[in-house]
Amino acid sequence: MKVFKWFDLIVLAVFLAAAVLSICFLIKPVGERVEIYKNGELVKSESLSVDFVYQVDSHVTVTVSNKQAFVSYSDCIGQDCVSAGKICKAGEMITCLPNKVIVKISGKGEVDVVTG
Amino acid sequence: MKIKKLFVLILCVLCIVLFCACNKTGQYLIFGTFVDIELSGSDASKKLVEIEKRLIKIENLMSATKDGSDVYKINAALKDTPVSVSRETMQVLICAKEVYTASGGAFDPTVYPLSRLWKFSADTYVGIPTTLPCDEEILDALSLVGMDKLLLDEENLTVTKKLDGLKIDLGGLAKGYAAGEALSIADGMQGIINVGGNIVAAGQDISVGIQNPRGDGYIGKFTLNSKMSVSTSGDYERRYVYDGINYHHIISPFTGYPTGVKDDANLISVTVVSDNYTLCDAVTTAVMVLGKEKGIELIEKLNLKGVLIDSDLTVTVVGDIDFVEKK
Repeated sequence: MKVFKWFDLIVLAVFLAAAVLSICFLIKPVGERVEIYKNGELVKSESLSVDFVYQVDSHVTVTVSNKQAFVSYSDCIGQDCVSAGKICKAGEMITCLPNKVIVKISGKGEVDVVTG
Repeated sequence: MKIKKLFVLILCVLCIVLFCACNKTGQYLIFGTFVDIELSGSDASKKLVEIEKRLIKIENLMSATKDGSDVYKINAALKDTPVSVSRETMQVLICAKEVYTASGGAFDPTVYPLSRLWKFSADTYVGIPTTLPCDEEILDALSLVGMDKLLLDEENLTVTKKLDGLKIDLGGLAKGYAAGEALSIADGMQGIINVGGNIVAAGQDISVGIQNPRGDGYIGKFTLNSKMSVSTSGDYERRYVYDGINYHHIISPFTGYPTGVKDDANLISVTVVSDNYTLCDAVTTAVMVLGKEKGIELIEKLNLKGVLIDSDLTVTVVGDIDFVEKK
């Protein structure tokens, strides 16, 4: 008598693959990523190792260069986001409240979050 | 049949592993500021929705600019007219009064007319001053400051102003309260709750960096224990420079000017750690106003912990914090 049918084996294989991927994701040191939010929605997530220029909308542009992210252009009056400078460590964040844009570094860094 | 049972068991274990890998984040713009919540656990998505609803409710009660909020009604009311408020708003007002009293008036939510005059309130801030307020305007606004002119009736949940024109802004207190409410919803889960800079460690110890007030990155880090909150105030955010002088959003209720402009308050960044989520932000403001020596006394009096940074970037740790300066 056969213990397993073909279908049982397929289901087991799928679950095993998913579990292995999940465990890999959990234990692998995740590289730092830059995440860009507009109106609370994630609009771009990219490794910090990749240089790019991202125009969030006609009001804000974010640049990533040499593993550092910064707001290279904003039409907000205060310009706090532009003068915030460059961020590169997990937990660091730049906020442009007038344009409702957040630039955040995620990943496993030296700190979980930065207060200030 | 034994092998078949083992197969089912393996599937169950794998399901649990997959659930545990579930890590959810929520980003919202509430209170005119950024809310960032990271939670892990199988219920994370559901909890995030619940938290967002709760935060929006608190904003609708405590925002100074939302038409119909408790705070809006208080600000619009005439003197000697009791205004009914929610239990939540009363709770935050009582906390504000506690910090006001303990700090000898250094923290005062009725400083709002001055914040508006200096264009530092959330609805007036543009970051570039065309002119500064004149002494007469500052004195006029100062005459409207004083939480002792705001009567709180805890039993009947009413607030009565003793002065026309008195206005309040619960700002950081409301955000701290909201962070605490978010934590109670996420009880038993692990993560980080950040409501406009009011950070709470949910179910785990976390490593917190303190922003370098005069440069990029953080100046040092410490461990924030589970269920504790941290908040930081400094002269480097919401500010503008006029004639070479740094004007920032922390206004002294004693002088009517941003701290350090007309007084000898010597701090540029204050971080406070507490298990009272509502009070944290208010104490950071009070310490900025009081300056280093009196600020340390206040932190100790309230049994809190803190990290203070002077204008020459000297760091002073108050209480039991494992702060390590970055080299």
